[in-house]
Amino acid sequence: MKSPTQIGEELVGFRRVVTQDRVTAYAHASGDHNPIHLDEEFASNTRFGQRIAHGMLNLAFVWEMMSLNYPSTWHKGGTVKTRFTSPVVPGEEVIVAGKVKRIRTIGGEDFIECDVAITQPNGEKALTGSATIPMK
Amino acid sequence: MEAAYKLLETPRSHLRVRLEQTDYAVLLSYRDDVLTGVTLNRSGINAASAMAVALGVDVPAAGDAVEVLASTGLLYRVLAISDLDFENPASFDLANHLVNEAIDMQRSARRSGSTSKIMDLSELESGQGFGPYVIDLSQADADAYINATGDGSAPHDFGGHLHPLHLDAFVLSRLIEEIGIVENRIETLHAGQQMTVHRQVRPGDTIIANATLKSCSNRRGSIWAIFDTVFTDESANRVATSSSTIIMMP
Repeated sequence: MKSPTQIGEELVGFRRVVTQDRVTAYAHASGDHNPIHLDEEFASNTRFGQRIAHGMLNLAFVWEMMSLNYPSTWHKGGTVKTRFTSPVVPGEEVIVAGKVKRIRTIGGEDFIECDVAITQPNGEKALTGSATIPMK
Repeated sequence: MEAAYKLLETPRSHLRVRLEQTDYAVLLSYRDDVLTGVTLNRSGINAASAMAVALGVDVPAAGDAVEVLASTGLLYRVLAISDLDFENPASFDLANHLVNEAIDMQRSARRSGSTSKIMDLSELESGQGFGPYVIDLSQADADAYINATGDGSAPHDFGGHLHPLHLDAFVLSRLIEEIGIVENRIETLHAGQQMTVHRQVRPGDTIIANATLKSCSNRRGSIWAIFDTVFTDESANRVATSSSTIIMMP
């Protein structure tokens, strides 16, 4: 796969279903057992009214997309900066997507800057942000 | 000590226990269960002192209590100390041995970031350091993380390396435990995350993470905290850096 380098070019994204099983597996794998992700009763008394997925789980999807699109450069200085703007609740299928925004030169080195996002079934953005990848 | 033995049946790294001094005894409790207690006679006072040292705290003043995170292994030793009869001189040698073992366990746990006094949120201050956390993730750990985040039919394997976010997730889990978010069931929101990776890490590599509370502010009763973390390898070379914004609503 050719890595996207042209402004406006879309990254190869994907859809992923966020089930409670996935959230629970993520909690065990990451060690993050915050009850807001696991405890139905606790979560029902929070502002969200139900359990929500870990923000880091959503970010892991973005990370995977970047690794797939830029396999030779992403892990040699790639940076992701995101905001978690809306909680993903178990059962939702999210869309992980990105687009090349611009080419930047930082300290004499060229970087590709992409907008990245995770979109929920209702069209809301669960995550927005940018990812910067070294050109070489 | 029935509750205590039941508690020890399942090995755990973080149990929030409470050491308190009443009018007549020093008690060690977990949730609503008193695990053990020593009366305030000569033998009991010696036992209480040794228990406190083993837990890494001072004996609380009368009417006071202190809460500590401890592993089941550490608790086992504290319970054994509480059972000693300090009227018998041989008990001092045994207690000394148990205390030394407990102190070693505390040191080891601190190195891995798994045992500490539980922090009150009001104790959070900008510039405060957390860790170092020693990260030593196995192939099985790496696989579990990739499977949890990935596509079940064809998970992306990151070329046999760790999913880099796994490092950050590890530190975040330690931070929220250390701050007491899980034990105190504090409602939290992970508002933002930044990470830069300089090189990939393989399962089995030892990575050391040092976190700093970059800023901490109270906004309408919620605490906004930004933690910066630096990940280095054993040669002190930088592997990754991250920044996490956490909102806590006590």
